Amino acid sequence: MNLRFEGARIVGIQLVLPRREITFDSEIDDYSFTPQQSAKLKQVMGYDRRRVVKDGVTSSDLVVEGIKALRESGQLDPESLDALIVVTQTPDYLIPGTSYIIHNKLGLHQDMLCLDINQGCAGFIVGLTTAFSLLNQRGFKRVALVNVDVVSRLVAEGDRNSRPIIGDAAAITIVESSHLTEPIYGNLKVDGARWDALMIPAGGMKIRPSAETAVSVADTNGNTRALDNLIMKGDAVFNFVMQEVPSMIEALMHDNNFDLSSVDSFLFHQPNPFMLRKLASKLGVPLEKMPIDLVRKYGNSSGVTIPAVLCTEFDVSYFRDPKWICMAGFGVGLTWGSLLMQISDLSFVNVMEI
Amino acid sequence: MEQLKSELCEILEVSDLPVDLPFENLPEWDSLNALSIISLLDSYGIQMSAEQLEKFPSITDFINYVFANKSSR
Repeated sequence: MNLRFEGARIVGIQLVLPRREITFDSEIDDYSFTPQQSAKLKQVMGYDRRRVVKDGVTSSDLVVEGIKALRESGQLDPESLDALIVVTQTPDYLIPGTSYIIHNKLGLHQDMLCLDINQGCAGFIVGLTTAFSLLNQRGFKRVALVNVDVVSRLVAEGDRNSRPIIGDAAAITIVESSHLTEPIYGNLKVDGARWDALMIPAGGMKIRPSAETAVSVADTNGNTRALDNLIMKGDAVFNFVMQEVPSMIEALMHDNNFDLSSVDSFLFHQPNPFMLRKLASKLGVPLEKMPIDLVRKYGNSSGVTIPAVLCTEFDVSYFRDPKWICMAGFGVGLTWGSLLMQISDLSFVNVMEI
Repeated sequence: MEQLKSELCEILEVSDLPVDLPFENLPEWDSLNALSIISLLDSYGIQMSAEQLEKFPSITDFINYVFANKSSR
């Protein structure tokens, strides 16, 4: 479906990264790759360094530290928030939603909406779309969109396809109503038929966690996982992305009479450099306009990767003059979505480590 | 066809393509090779899962399939 919003802008983004860094080299013995395979994976797939939380650290821990830092620096008055949207696949509890835990830890006021959304790699697009929609209602003037995931806690140690690139992070994006901005264009699509391409089988109501769901089983590709762990069909996801994402971006440009070459930067979800290179080439976008190496430096933090790229590759000065930004998220659901919007005059672009 | 063969040699890092073997029997065969070939197929307009790729009785059968089904390039 095609989307168009007016009267909303991004004010600033705070990225929260765990300080703990794990290198592929330090884990290389867990995976039984040959030295040649390891070298190729490093070069092509971006197996290198990733940020992960320490044992026991939850999604709300990362977010609360991030919002506290914004409060202390005077960049955000949390009492001015009309909504807190938390997009995560790794909630603190099954019940209640993580937004309520954050609301409590920060002592936020009662006159607001708390909302949890279970989304992954399209989570920034889905979250922004929800925030912009809320801002159409006069009661909402300022919304905090939180994207957070600590998926490293749910990836099997023996999952050599996913574990070497999975990272944890949180991003807090402040969005508010504004009368001065260009329209925001977007589109969203879903194919529930491919729901099992990315999943964690146990832990919900369908399969309760138990001793059996914790038992690791080897697959034919040299991975060992339990039902409690993330499982991704890498080839299915690759085919999905190559089939759907370029045509989505072309439709976004065509439907809104926008020329691809007028986009200043392409901030895409960061599954790995291999897929992003291929996407850039299919779209005919120069790599100078599309960062592809977040995974190499910090890991793939699912819904956090788009704000993470923005915060680590750009600063406030880049956005002093208005910039046309094209964002795309794609993954679990399967869901794919994109936004084309002008970003300018950001109050803050922060990276903090905890 | 020579183009596809040389692309496969590059991905598999071999100078001589063992055309009579299935992919799975190659000594260095792994999921990254599979993904690289799936990615290559994308440029021939073909989508294939890793499992389908590994089911071809030989690389020759695979090459014949690509030429019978390619849609662009």
